[in-house]
Amino acid sequence: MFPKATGILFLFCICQTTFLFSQDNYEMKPNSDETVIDFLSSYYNQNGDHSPVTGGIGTQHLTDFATGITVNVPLDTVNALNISWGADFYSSASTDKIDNNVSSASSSDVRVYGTVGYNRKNLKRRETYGIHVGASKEYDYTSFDIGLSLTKEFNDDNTEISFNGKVYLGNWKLIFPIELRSEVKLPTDKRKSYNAQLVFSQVLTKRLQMSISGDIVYMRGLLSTPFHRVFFQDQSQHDIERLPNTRLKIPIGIRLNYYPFDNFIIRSYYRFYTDDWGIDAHTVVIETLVKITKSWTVQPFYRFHTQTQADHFAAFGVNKASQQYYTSDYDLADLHSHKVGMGLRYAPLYGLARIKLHLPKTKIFQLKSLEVRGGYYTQNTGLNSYFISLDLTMGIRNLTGN
Amino acid sequence: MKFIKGIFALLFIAFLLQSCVSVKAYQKMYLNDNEMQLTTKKSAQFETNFEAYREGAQGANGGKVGGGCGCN
Repeated sequence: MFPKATGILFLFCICQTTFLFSQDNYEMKPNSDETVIDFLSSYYNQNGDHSPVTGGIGTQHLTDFATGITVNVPLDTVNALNISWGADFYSSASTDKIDNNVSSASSSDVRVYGTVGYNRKNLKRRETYGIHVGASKEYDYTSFDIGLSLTKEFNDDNTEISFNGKVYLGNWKLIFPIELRSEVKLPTDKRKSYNAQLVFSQVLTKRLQMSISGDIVYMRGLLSTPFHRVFFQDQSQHDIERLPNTRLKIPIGIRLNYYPFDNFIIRSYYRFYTDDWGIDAHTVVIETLVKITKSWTVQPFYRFHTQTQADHFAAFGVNKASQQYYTSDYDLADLHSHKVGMGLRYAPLYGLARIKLHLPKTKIFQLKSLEVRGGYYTQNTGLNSYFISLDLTMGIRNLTGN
Repeated sequence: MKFIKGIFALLFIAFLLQSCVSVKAYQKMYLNDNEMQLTTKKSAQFETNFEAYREGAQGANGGKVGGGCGCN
């Protein structure tokens, strides 16, 4: 299956190279002079009864408060910097069960991350080249990543092809369940992930556009979680989760955005996913955006997801000790989920507020828009959660700029 | 497998269509609307993350696919 899919994807790439030589006469848009800043924040609260830390049973109560900032700085008409950083503060009743101390250090953690990217446009060739580096750190996992990107637009900017390549290098701090620490070993504490993504975007009509996105992800190294427990049928000594040291993932997504009437937009998304651990999945998202005034937009949304279970998954007490691989992590189970919610966006024409900044060059700082989004997520496994997110967009531009 | 074939068929049709469509820049007032962008909304970024943590499938949506965290 994978060689065929890869072959067809390669054939698509070859076909598309013919359009790289097309005779487009339009000019690619240069960068605007506006620095855009997004402040993002989110609260997430989850409950369930299938904690993998306790072998597939037990509380999955977890709260997460996440914040992030993204800054896009145009250096000139062709060069731009993109910087993002953030932190997740989470507390988890299940990771508290790694040892026998309630509310010990394992009951909460902080994950911090950051990325710096640089883009350069070639206006004549209508191409954009990018490079970025990033890092992420939480108590038991550290990761570094580097990526390259190339985007080509043609056909009067009605068609765009983008390629992104990324490599993640990760390191676990091996923390085993307290009762198994003198007994278990793992051959490595490292994880590597190689990601390649191809995106094809196409304008179909004046009100309709689509994109198709395909990823190929190859992971290698320690792919299980060291503190997840697995209990066996014969009630012999339990063990930690053991999973294959490689994984190949292929998700393919399609987006279709349609503006059928003034003040009404439909955003739709479908993804098919398959991997060599036995999971096949389908995901569908529908968002409708209703502009009730020029400044206010209401955005109800719905998401449905279904997946088959991984080959090595079994519930508590079902796996056999004789198996080479086993897990009771319900993230890898046969499941389906629903997510429903609503967003509200306020984006007046001249922003929520504007301030003149008297720097060497007079600039305008503007609060451009505020979006609040909340919803409810539930799985047939019994896991359910609610969330609320906020996105505040700001801009800084020259007083006489666009 | 049928779904992969269907998706690539759709992709091939899009490839054929691209040579027929030429919407000029001054005609793109609807397409250039902020809400018509062909990416996950920034306000949904954290939702994409928790979906990747709690489900076995990720990717093709700008979110985590593999790496950057201790998740699968």
